[in-house]
Amino acid sequence: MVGLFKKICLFTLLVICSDYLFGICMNKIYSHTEKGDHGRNNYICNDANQDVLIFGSSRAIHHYDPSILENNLGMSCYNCGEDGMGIVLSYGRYKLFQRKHQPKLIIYDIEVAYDLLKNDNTKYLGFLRPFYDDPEIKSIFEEVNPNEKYKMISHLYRYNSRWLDIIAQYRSKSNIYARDYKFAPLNRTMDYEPETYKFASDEDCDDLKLKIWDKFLNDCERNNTKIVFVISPVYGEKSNHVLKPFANLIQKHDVTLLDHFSDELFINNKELFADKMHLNTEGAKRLSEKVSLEIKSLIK
Amino acid sequence: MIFNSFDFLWLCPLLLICYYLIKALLERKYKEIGNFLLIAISYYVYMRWKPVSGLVLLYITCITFLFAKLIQKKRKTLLLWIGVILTILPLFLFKYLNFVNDLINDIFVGISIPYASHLSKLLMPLGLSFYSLQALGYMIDVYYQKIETEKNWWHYMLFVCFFPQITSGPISKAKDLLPQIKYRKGFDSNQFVQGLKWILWGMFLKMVLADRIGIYVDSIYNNYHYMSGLSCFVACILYSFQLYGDFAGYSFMALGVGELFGFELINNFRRPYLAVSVTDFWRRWHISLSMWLRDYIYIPLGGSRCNKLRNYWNIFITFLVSGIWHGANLTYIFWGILHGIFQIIEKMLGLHKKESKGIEWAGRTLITFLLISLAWVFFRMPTLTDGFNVISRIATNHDLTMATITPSTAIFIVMALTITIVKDIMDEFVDKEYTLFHHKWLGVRWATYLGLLLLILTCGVFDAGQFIYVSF
Repeated sequence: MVGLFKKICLFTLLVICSDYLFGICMNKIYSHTEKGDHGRNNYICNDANQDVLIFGSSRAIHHYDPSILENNLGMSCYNCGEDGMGIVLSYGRYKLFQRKHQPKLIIYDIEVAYDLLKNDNTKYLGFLRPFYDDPEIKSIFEEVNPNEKYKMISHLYRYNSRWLDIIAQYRSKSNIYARDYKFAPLNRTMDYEPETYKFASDEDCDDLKLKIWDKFLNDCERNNTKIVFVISPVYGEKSNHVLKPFANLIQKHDVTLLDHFSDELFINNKELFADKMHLNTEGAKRLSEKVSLEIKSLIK
Repeated sequence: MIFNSFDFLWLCPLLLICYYLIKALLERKYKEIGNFLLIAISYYVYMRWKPVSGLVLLYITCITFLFAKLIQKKRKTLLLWIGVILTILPLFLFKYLNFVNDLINDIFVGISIPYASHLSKLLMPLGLSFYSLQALGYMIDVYYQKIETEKNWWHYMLFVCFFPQITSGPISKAKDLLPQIKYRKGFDSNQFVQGLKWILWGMFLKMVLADRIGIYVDSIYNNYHYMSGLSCFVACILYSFQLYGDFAGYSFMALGVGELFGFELINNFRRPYLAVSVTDFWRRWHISLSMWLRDYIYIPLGGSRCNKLRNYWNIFITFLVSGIWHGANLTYIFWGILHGIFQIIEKMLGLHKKESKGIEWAGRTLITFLLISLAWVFFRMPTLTDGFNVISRIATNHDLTMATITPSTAIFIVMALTITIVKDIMDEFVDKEYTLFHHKWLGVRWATYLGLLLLILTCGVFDAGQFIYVSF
């Protein structure tokens, strides 16, 4: 039994050392990653200092061309949207961003699936794990899943599933650096008839996401950052239904909502869509123009 | 207890320490303290999911314990049947009642007779299908006088509720498990280490192989209408490995936890995809269920000691029951029938006994794997129509484009598959002292343990959901 105990201790020590060494290496690599989505994440959280930030899911990163917004608004702009991500990541990124610079305007493209509805919030924490040591980020982890603090003891876990992408992006020969990255236009046109959109009900809203929204909007108010919500067009949808808890949030914080969900300039034109939920390059250009002009008239 | 949950990571060591500590301190005075502790732990762990399900577990335990005693006294078939019906009653109510009701509804609607009976769906207690079969097996064994009735209620209670196997098996036999409960050995460090090895390998299979593949397979099967034939085929092959990783992963972890507490449970998996026939596959896949079906369905029906036609019928019925057991859905029934038909054909051609080597072995293994993979499509899809649609897409859509997969996901999947296949081939063909987990050189063994653990931490999917078989 003593022999077994010694072996288990030795093995545990080996695991701890490997974990620690891996952590040191990955921290170093991550902090020097300047390309790809991890380079962007690193840039947003450590170096970016633009006045206008765009947040949201794939509908943000594919729909808004920062150069159009910069031209029309006369302010520097960066697109912080991320595929399949919502308010949990956006809030974390905002907290890290505003340590060094207060943005003047935030444009948030709302996608109910990621920003409002109940689902596993742990999956939104991935991009924030390398920044776990920041107290603000720690508190987000604590709210999302209290068990995460134990898992985060392991440095290997911090880079779980992402380490290979990080190394590849660190060594990438691409000449597109995160600081110069604009957005991710979709260069295809929808050539089929999609299924109809399924509206969620008010009961499907996630209390935790609403709580994070509340914090986000309070922070923006405190820091004099104007926030504008946009709902991008969805192909073929003639009317929208804004969920009540979200409508209450908008009312409480007096936020402007630009609802283009059933904007007739877009929704009947397949040529502007890559798929039902995403505009293509041309659609994105038109939406960026339209939204930037609307915001311009708002902030005058 | 869900072995891939965070709870397991802290609860299992805590329970182990408490168990061995209390046992060491009090066993001399109270001989049965170890068993009482295990019953308490098992019920605690089981009722953490849904407290009321503990009543169902207790009901099954009481009914089978009581009827086994009655059957021992008066060996009457009627008593056995009453016992069987009362034991499977919760299973029928929770698992099949809605299915039967929907079927009747469909039939009535089909012949235009109004039938409006809507039942609210009951949430099935975890592992009900598994422990019901285990308890049923004990009662039938008593009827056939293969074993004596268990006189000690507490021993029998532990036999039914032992927590590592309660949610997804293995389905232990009374003759294997009850003696281990009765005559407990002391702490065995070799057994303990073996248990840790099983848990490590099970975790790798579940978190690195199954859950990683699952993300990709789900993305294809959930949108198969838009996918190419090649993508559907790749999903079909990968799903075979997902299911293997998921279920074998669970079973190995159950086996491992059992060993940590000093029990040797039946090993449910023996490299199933190296089978040379479907008959051989069922000697390697979910072994405890195969044995249960053989002993309590196939042999009582007459087994192979009858004419050929009757034998084929017995095989067919056995696998029909297997399909029904897996789930209340026509897809599972069709999957069971397919396996029955495959084995009948093998028996007709005499393939079930034929030994093969070299290229013939490789060819047969490959064909068996492909047949099994195609059958899994029906196991995976929600309806028979979806299953046939996927098969037809594989057969008729010759588009060679593949569904998008990130390079890192592809690398993780290929790496996990390679490790799994290499380990299984080594375990099958190489002397035990040269296999990764039992290598005669300490360095190789430790490198294997460390490597797997690091791979779990760096490549494992940590926020995946439940084990597939738990829902059965």
